[in-house]
Amino acid sequence: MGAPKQQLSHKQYIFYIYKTQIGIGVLVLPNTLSKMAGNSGWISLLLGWMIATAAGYFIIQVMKRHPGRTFAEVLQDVLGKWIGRAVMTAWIAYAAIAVGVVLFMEVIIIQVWILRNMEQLLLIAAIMIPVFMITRNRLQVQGRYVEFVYLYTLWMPPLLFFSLKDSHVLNLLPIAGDGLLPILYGIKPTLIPFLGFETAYMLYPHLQDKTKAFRGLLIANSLALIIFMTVVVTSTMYFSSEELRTFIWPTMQLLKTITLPFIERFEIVFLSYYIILVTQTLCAYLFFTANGIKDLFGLQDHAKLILPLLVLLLAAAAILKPTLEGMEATNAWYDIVSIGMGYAFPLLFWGLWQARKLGERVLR
Amino acid sequence: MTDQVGQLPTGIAEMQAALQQQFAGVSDFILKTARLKCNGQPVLYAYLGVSVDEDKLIREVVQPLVLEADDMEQVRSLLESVQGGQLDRWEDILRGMWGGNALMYMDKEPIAYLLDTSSWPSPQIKEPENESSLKGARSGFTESNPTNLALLRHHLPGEQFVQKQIRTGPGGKIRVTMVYLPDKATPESVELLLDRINKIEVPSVLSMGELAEQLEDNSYSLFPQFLLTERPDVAAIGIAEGKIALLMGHSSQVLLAPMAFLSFFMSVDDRSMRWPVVTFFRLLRFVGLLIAIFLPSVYIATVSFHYEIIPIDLVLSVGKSLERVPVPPILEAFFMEFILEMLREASLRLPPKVGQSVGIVGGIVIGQAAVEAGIVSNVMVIVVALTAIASFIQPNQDMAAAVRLLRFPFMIAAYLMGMIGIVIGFMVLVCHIASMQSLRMPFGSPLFPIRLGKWSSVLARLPIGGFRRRKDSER
Repeated sequence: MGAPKQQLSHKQYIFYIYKTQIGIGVLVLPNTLSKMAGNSGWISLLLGWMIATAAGYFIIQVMKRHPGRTFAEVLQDVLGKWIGRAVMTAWIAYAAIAVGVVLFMEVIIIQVWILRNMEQLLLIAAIMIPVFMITRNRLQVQGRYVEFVYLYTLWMPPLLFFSLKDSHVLNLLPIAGDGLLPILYGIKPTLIPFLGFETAYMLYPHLQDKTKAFRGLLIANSLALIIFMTVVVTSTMYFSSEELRTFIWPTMQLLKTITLPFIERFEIVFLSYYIILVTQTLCAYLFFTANGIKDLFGLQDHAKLILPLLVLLLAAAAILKPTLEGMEATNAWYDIVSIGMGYAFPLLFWGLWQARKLGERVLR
Repeated sequence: MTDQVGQLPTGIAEMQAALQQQFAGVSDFILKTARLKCNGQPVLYAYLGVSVDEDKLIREVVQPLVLEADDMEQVRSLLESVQGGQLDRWEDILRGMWGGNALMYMDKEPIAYLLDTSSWPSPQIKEPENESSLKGARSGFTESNPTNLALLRHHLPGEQFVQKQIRTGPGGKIRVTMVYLPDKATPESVELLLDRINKIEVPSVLSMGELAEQLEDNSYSLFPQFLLTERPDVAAIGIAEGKIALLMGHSSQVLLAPMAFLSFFMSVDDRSMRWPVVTFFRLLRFVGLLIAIFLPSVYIATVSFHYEIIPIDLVLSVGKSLERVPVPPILEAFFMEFILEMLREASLRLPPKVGQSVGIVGGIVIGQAAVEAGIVSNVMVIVVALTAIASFIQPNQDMAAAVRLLRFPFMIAAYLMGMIGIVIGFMVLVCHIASMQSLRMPFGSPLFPIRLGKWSSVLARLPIGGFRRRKDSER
């Protein structure tokens, strides 16, 4: 197959992962985190960041030794042809479901906050238009789009500081007041928003500068950590951890505090604009799916797969008619699946790869 | 009798008959015969009187041949010195004669010479009317190729640029001149453009805009991908920056390629004014761009979906003005925008003396009567007027037209889905620009892909050569 032609610069790679991580997760994080870890959630977040970075390290470690090979090929190299293909299929399914989960969740949030009476399928179809247009392009163009997303959403995080004027630092105390255990339990909800770095499996063969792959991943993770930390700390300070448990989307509640002289209910504008960020998450997983299928079956081009995939997704939406309750139930098991795919798999795969290498050395 | 494509007839009488038959319906066709001084051999010369400089022909060719040339050697060298081409195909001769050349035909050696004696009406150099500037050059390109090339050389003194004549199209009827600096222009772009020019398949191209359409990368896009200018200073700056210029003999516009999206928002004056002023103007243009595209759609989205984001005081007055209007905001907006575009188009086509009345009719009817009659709301009039002004400040007309057209889809999107629709439209637009190319160069650069280093020179304008204080100045 040769080296893939699609190239991604270092900067684009960082933004790609970083903006894939910023998605629906940020909106719910303070809520899920405070349910587990109370007001010490920020410590769990730090631990979660370490774990995510470690998982990313294992990803790069394996991919580094197979330069020019796609993820599907590496899987087959290490696990054998058939198991490798089966695992790849699992990954494709994982990414495809991720697209669905994120998309449906986004649409539900839009319906709750902005367009109460809008037909759900219409919204889904509308959001699919930019997703389709972006994802069918070469990775190079997707990289440009990510740069745009990064730059044109820079103004959004600082808005969180608007809430600071009414917040109380005391809400953060006592640090680790309930002991160590809640903090450790709190790690689990922090792992979900960090997901997105696993796209590195797919991106690695397309990187211009492969030597800096891990450093880029680390930077992306850290950028995401800054955002998550800001969200968690400001919302804890503003609401207190008791109150946080009652809001499903505390980040949105936080934005309600913004009042400008010429605009009220600023969170409507904010959330509308936020679609740009979520779209990147959608695009990344959709590209993962399409490109995965392409590599698995040795097809020429991923672009032709995008439309059928989206049609399938639309059909799924028409049949399932996602609701908030339904999505929460789905998320409950899908979170576990994604932790398995995003965190357990890299470690396991790296272990297998090491074992295989050792075995080969012994045999020789 | 010969057919059109075949060999030339031999013998002066036959040639004469063939020519006369060919040009039977052409009133300025002139055919004369003469005898050479050296051996008395008869020659025939023929031309179309209007497009040939008869003086030059007689003075430089016929007179020396008939009165001065002493032997055949001299005759031949004389003819070769004014030669437009020595041809033996009937088709080439016809094209040459229609193109302003004179034909010289000799009996003994059946050789036809095309003599380059063409003289086309050369228009005066005038100030470019459609791209006016405060401090830029006062001379514009004309409809004559030599004049345009001379203007370019005048604006780029001492630069050694490459100047390629290309004939293309079926039958080679399209003549294009390509000008660039070999050490600045990227060779790939030059080759790509050459290749595209050579592949043109339409039989004739009348204007530069038509040529641009034949050469551009995305023919379905709304945005212009090449800059068409009638200002030699703009073209010269472009060439100096490494762009390729295309000239056509009968077009007063010059095409510059490759272009980037943001460079359509710069004007020549940017170079000759103080840098803080220019920076402010650029900012104004970009804000204008945003207003021109988004203001009507944001207004529609707000009043039809998200009226809660309007502050309470404003919502009351907006509501009062909307109360009387029976149609949904989208119809109101479309109505107003259409009228506005019609007014603009009308004032463009009407002779200036009649044109004034358009302004009066438009101003009174739309500004007042429509509001008082309750057909449109006051706020909508303000929105539409602001949009119009914002789109009029764009320096490039092609881009301004694209921007004006762009707000209609955005208005529909806003009507369907409010803010969400606008943001989705915005993403589609960004993706479109990010994936566009001009001669395979990224069209969106330096916005996407981001080249932060270049932003300072595009969005703002810093002093040329950096900030400095003259050492020799007196304090």
